[in-house]
Amino acid sequence: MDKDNIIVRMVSVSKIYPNGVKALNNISVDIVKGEFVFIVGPTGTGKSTFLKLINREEKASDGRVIIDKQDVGELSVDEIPCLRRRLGVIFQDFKLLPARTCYENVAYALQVIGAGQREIAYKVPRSLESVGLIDKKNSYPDELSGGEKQRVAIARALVNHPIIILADEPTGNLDPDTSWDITQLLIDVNSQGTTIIMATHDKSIVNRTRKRVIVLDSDGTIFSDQERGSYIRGL
Amino acid sequence: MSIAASSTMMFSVLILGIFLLIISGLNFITRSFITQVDVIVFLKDGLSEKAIYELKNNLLSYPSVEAVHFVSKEEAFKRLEEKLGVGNLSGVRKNKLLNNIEVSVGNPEHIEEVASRAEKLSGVDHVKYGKDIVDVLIKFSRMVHLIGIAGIILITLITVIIVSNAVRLTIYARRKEIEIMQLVGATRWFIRWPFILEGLFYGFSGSAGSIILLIFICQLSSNFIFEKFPFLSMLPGVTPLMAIFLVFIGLSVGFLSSMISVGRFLKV
Ligand SMILES: Nc1ncnc2c1ncn2[C@@H]1O[C@H](COP(=O)(O)OP(=O)(O)O)[C@@H](O)[C@H]1O
Ligand SMILES: [Mg+2]
Repeated sequence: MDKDNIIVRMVSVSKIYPNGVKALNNISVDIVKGEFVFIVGPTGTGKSTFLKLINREEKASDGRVIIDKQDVGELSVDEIPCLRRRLGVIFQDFKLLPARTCYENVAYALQVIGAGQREIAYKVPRSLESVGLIDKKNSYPDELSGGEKQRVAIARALVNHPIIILADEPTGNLDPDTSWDITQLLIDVNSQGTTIIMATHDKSIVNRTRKRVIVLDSDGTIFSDQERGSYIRGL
Repeated sequence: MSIAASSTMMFSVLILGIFLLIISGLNFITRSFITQVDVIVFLKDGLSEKAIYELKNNLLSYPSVEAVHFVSKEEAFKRLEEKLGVGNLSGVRKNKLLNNIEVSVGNPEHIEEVASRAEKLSGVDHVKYGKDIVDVLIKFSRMVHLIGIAGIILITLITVIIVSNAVRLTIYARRKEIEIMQLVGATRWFIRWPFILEGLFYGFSGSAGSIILLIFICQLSSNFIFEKFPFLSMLPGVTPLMAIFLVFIGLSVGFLSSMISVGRFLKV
């Protein structure tokens, strides 16, 4: 691996929650710019925690998490927003605001970081276009299917041109076909250079995609880490 | 915006204001008592004018003495005449009275010290002051101050708790937006300021409303009070300083309440 191209580096990282749960246990991982990585494992093995350490929703109890050459454990509370503006996040439950249209939901992500009207008017339609939802820009989330909602969420994550997209079980609420569509969309985004880290426990998607797979074990360690891998937990 | 938060703020500041009025009234009363019971230094007979003048200067040189006033025998007699009515003075002989110097002491706590120092001066016959009443008044005014400060702190704290709960309701309604704002990288101050403005709004509207009510209450009660206790007609009422203080407390409580409430919804 090319050292300069490492965008996520975890060195002996452990995460113990205040209640004593050890979610991650001495994990070391390097992820290169432009990679598509699945984080898999059954519920409770620390997939979400893995992603939260990257955008500093959580702080490692031990070890170092380095994002684009920056040790995020050293960020002060007021520096965290700066990190997050360079990351896109999507979730199983979409996290869209129900009282806002698609357009407004995407624009919201720009407004709250102080973007100007012109920047918003320029970026939002392009982002909605790239997920194929420009026709529904004036619809409210309740008027959309699950897959469409997730596309809006992806448009919102993309609008700021993130270096990494963190996807936490983005297909968890979708039927298999729609799940595959969303995965395809993420693969498209990835092919244009954005690093994608996707937590999932959807075996079929992982096995069909044949990307790098990091399998977490129930004791919070890495069970396996394979290029072009498959969901091998239990094999 | 919540009416509940505004009115909660208003009633809390109102209670604070009534409390302040009572405290400042008590303070005023004790002060007016104290200024009446300064030290009287009685002089021996036959002092020269120069000696009296030096005594006056000597007393004035004490840091805690604010003013001295010489009262001659004649003046003392005149006062007595006025007080008792001329007819009753037949038994009093003018030369039984002494020349004296009235001494005003700024701080009642220093009265005793001034009195004992004055007693030792040459030319002084004896010194009089209301020792018992001064002691009582000092104790009373200390107590009033203590209760005042404790009360202000207590009421302010209770108000913060109540108002921060009210603000929390509006923040709770927007918790999803706050979560998303944090995830996409909004700064904490960007997220806070609308809620802070809301808190300041409650603080301002509440305290302004309570000041109006206070002035109203003062007007209503003053007729009654002045009738019963005419000497209270000088009571300060709602002074501009008190109004500013109440608005300041309202704004601070609003700010603090919002900060506390938003803080609970801000993750790192
Ligand atoms: N905020 C938290 N406080 C305490 N324990 C937590 C917290 N978040 C997650 N955990 C615990 O950490 C472990 C890993 O959780 P998580 O990372 O959410 O796993 P996954 O996403 O793989 O289901 C679980 O046992 C979970 O209960
Ligand atoms: Mg999870």
